[in-house]
Amino acid sequence: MSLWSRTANAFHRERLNREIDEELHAHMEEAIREGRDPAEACRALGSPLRHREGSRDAKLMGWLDAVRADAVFGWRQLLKTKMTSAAAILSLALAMGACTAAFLRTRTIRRTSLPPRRTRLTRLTISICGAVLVGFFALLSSASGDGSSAKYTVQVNNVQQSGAEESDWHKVDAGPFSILAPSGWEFHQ
Amino acid sequence: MAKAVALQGSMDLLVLKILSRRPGLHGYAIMTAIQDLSGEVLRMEEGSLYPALHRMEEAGWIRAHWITKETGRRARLYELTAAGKKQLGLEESRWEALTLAVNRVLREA
Repeated sequence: MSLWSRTANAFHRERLNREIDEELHAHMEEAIREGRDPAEACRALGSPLRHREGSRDAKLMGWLDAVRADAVFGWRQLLKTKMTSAAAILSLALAMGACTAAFLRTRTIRRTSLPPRRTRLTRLTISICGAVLVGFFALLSSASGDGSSAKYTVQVNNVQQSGAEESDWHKVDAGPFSILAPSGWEFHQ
Repeated sequence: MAKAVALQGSMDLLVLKILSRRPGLHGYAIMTAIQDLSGEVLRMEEGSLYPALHRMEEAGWIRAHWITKETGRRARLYELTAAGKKQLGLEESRWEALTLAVNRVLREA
């Protein structure tokens, strides 16, 4: 009961403050009604602010109230600098979206188009890297202006996904190095 | 009139005891009851009664409800709960143990 009421009170701070103040006010009225001097009664009561703080600490969850106050403050700050906030939120959203898309794409590719065995996975990865390198060197050699230089193109014919054995991989001599490629992959020189 | 003594650490006990005898008192009445019954010896900083009442309320020892007085003003009345009765017994035995121990020291020192 206490936990619940203290949580609920954190969200009804205004009402809580009002009730505490009303109670202290009723105390003063009683004192004056008994014929006490108002100034003396006020002095005897002490600082209402301090008592209110004390009561509030007892009646609501301090940390929850602090979190609520922080959230309200943060929201106000965001509203104060609308453009900067919008830019920050937009860039965060774009980055998150891009990362998620890249992750999903990669996951789909790896799940569906790669053979399950680890050795094959490694080989295919190597061969893809190899293909990229081949492309890079091809680009370099063509850029060097040597007309007779080799031009590599990678053609992927129907990559086999299952039942492929070790023998399905063949060695491809690609200029400065040789790589292993699945049987469907052909390199034309 | 004797010099007023501040209530140190015994406020919970006194408030619970008063409320067990006279349910449905507001804060000011609890305070005057403590002062009157102690022969004006025990005195508290009046405002500090309220945080203590609210703390005990949250602990479930007392419960409060608002009433509207004939003057139109609202007042908050307190009464003891079952948990409060148990706590009162606990505080009373603690107080007796304390005074017994202090008296023994005073007698035998």
